[in-house]
Amino acid sequence: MGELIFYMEPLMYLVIGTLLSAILGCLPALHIYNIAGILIILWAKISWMGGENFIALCAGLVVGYSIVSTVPAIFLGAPDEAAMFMVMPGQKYLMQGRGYEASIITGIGGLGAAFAMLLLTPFLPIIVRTVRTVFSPHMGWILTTILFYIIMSEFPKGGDRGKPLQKFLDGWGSIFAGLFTLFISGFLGMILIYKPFVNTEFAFQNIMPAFVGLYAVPWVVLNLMSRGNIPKQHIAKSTNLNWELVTRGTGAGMLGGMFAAIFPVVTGGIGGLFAGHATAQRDERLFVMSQGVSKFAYYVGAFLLFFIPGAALTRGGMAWMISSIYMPYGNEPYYRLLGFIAISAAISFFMLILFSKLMIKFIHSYNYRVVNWITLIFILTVVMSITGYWGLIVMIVCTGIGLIPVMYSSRRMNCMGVLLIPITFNMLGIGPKIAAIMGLV
Amino acid sequence: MENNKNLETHCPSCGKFTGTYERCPYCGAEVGKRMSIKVFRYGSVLLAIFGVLFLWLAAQNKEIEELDFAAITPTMNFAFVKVSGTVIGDPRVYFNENGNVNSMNFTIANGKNEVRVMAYSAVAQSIIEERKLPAKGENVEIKGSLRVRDEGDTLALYIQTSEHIMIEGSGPVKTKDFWEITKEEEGKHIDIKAYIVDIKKNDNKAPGSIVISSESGKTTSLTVWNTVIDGLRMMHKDKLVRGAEFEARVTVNVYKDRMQLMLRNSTDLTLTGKFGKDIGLSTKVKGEITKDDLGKDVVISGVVSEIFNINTKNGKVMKKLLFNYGFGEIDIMLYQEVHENFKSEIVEGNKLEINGAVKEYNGKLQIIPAKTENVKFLGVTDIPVKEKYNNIQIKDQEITEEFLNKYIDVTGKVYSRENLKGNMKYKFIYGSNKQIILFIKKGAVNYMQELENLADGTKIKITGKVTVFKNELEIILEHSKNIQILGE
Repeated sequence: MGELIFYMEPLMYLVIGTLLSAILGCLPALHIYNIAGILIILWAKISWMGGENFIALCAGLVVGYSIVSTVPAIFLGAPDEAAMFMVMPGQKYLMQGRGYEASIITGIGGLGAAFAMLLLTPFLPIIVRTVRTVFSPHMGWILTTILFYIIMSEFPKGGDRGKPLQKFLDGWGSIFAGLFTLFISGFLGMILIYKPFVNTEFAFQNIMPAFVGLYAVPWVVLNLMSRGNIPKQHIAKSTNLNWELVTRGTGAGMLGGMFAAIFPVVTGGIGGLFAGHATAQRDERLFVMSQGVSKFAYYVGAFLLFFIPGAALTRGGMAWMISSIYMPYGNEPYYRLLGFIAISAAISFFMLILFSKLMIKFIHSYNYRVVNWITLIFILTVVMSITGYWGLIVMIVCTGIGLIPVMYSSRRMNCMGVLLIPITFNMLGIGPKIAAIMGLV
Repeated sequence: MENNKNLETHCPSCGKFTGTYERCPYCGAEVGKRMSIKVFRYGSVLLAIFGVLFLWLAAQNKEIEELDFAAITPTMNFAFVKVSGTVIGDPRVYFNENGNVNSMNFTIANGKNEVRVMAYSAVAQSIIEERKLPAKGENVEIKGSLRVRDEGDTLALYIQTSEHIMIEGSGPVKTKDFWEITKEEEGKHIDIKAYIVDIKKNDNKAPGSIVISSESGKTTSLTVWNTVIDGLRMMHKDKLVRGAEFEARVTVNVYKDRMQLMLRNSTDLTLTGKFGKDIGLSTKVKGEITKDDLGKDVVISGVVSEIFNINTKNGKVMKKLLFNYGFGEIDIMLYQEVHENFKSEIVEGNKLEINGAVKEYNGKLQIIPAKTENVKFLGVTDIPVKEKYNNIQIKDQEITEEFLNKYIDVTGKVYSRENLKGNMKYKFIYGSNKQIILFIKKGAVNYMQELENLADGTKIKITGKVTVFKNELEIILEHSKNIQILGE
C-alpha cells in the first residue's frame, strides 16, 4: 500500500501529461517534443517538480502524442482531390468518409504496440544489449545502406501525358526533387552539426528549428494552400479488422518501430517504410494499423530504451532531452515506466476516440485556416523564444527545403538527410574530413 | 472551407458563380484568386538553395563560444563550446580486438571545474595518428559538443575532429637522434626513430622501460609506465618484437638529476614496419638473470667455472657449463652441433661471451646458444678457477689484503646504510667487532629489495669478493643469492 502511495503523485503527472499531449496533439504540425522542450527549460529554471514526477509527465506526453497525434494527421491533412491517388491510405479513408475508422485503426495499432512492448518486457534488456553489441561496430555501413535504400526506392511518378520530354520530366521530376531534398538537407545537416547556430543556453534544442522548418511549417503551409473539402464523416461502430490483420499489423509495425527506436537517426517513418517493404504490405488496413504500431514503437520504444537496465540507450528526442536532468538506475524505473506506458496508452486510446468524434463534429464549423494560422504563430513563437533569430532563420531555410517534397510530390522522408547524412559520414569516419572541406572546422 | 471556396469561385460583389474568371462577367468586380502554386514550387527551391548558402557562409565565420562554467544548466546539453584547462591524469586510449583505436578520453580542469573530454572511433584514431593526444599537465583548448549530466554536475565534451584540440605552447616538435638529446631540453617533446631491443615491465610502482638501439649500436632506455606497455602490446600485438623500427614522440624529463626519455602514451609510438638487421636483438645483461628474462635472447660474458659432459638419448654429447657472469652463476647448455665446431676445446677458466635464449629446466635457469657463432672466446681468466670458487670461510680472522680478489663467506651485522645511485653501502661488523665496508650492487638490490632497507644491527651471512676502493678494503656482493638475512 505504501508503495502505491509513493506512485500516486507520479501517476497524477502521468495523467496530466497524457491529457495535455492529447489536447495539444490535436493541433496540426505541433510536435510534443517542442512542448517538452519548453517544459524542460521551465524545469531547469525553477525546478518546479521532482525528477520522478517530471519523468512521469514526459512519459504521458510521449505516449499520448504517439496515439492522439493521429487525429490531426488524418483529419487536418486533407489533400486536394488531384492528389487523391498519391496520398497515404489514412487520408484516402478520410476522403471516403471513414476518417474515424482510420483513426481508431491507428489507435488499435498503438494499443497493439503497447501490448507487444509489455510482452517483450523480460526480453527487451537482452535483445537491446545483444543488438547493440552486434550492430554497434557496423553502424556506419548500415546507415549507408539505409541512405542508399531511401534513394533507390524512389520511383518515377506520373509521366503519362505530353511529349516524351514532358513525360520524362514529369516522371523523373519527383525523383530529382527527392534526391535534391536529401542532399541539400544533408549539406545543411553538416553545417548544423559542426557549427550549430542556437545559443548555448538552449543548445539542447539545436536541431529543433530545423525539424520545425522541414516538417511542421510545410504542413501548415500546405493546409493553408489546400482547398480540399472534407466529406461527411461516418462514425463506425466496428472496424474492418480481424485478428490476423491485428497480429500482422502489430508484427510489421513493431519491426519498423523498434528498428527506428534502436538505430540512431532512423525515424519512425524510415522504419515504417522498411518494415512495410520487408513484410510486403499491400492491404491498406494493414498499412494504417502498422503506422500506428510503428509510431508508438518508435516514440515510446525509444523513450523506454533509456530506462532499460544495463543498456540505457539514449535514442529519440525525449530521451536526449531528459538525459541532462535524469539518469535511471536499476530495474525499478524500467518496470515503473512500463506500467506508466500501459496506463497512459489506455487513457490515450479513449482520448483518441473522444477527440476523433469531436473533430468530426466541429471540422465543418470551425475555420480551418484560422486554426492553421494559430498553429503557425504558436510554432514561430516557440522557435523564436527558445532559439532566437538564428533559430528562426534556420527554420525559414528548412521550410524551403521541407516544401520541395510537398511541391514536387516526393517523399518528405528525404528531409531526414539533415541527420542521416552527417551522422552516417561521422560513423564512417569521413565526417570531419568533409566538414574540413566545407570550411566548418 | 466552404467559405474559402465561395470566395474564389463566386463574385464577392454580386455573389454569382464566376468560375476561373478574375473579373466578374456580371458586375465587373474583381474576384480574388489564390496565389499560383508555381510560386511555391520555385520559391521553395530558391529559398532552400540561397538559404543554405547563407547559413554555410555564416557557419564558416562563426566563432565558437567559451564555456561559462558558472552558467551551466541542463538545457546546455549539446552546446558546441570551447573549453580550456589543464590535463589532469594520463589520457586513456582503448583499442578494439583488431588493435584499432576504439575511443580515448582525458580530463581537463579549469579551476574547480572538471570536464571529461572524449572521442570515438575515427576521430580518436586521427587524434592519435596526428599525435594530438595531450599529456598530463599540458594546457589545452578543446572545442566540442557538451554533454551535461546530473543536472550539470557531470560534464563531458565530445570532440568531433582532431582539429579541435589545441595544445598550448606545444609548438613544432623537433626530430632528433636520441643520443643527442640532453638534459637541457627538459619538458620538450622530441620525435625519435630507433629499434626496439627489449620491453620490460616493472612489478612495483616504478615505471618499466623499453630498451632501444640505433642502427649504429647506440642504446638507451625509454621510461614507460606498465599501462603504456599494455597499450603498446594491445595495439601492435605480435609486431612489437625486437628489431622492429619505430617512431616515437618522447618527452624529456629529469629525475634525480638524470635524464629520462618518457614515452607518455602507447599511441606516441608507431611501428614503421621495417626491421633492423642484427640490431640489438639480444640484451646485454646488466644485472642478474631472473625468470622475468625467460624467452629473451641475452648476451652475457663471464668465466667458465665447471664443465659437465651429458650423454643424450641420441648418442650425442652435450656440454653443460657452469658460468659465472658477474651477477651470479647460470648453466650454459651447448649442443654437440654448437661445441664441436668451436675453434678450441672449452675449458674451465675460459672467458666467453654467450648469446642465447633464457630457458628453464627443472626450475633452474639456463642459456642455450643456438649456433657456434653465438659463443665467443674472450680469453683466459688469470685467477685460478679452483681458488676463485673455493670460498674462504671467515670466522675470527681479520679480512686483510691477502684476501684481495678472493671470495669469502662471512657472517656479521650491517649498520649505517647509504644509497649510492641504487647500489647500497653498509658498515659491516663481523667476528669480534671487526669492521669492513659491504658494497651491494644495484642488480642484487633490484632483485631483493629488502637489501635497500636493512635496519641497523641486521645479521646477515654473505658470500662476496674482497676488493679495494680508495685504499679501503670492501666486500662486493653481486648476487642476491649470495646473501642470507638472519634477522636482527
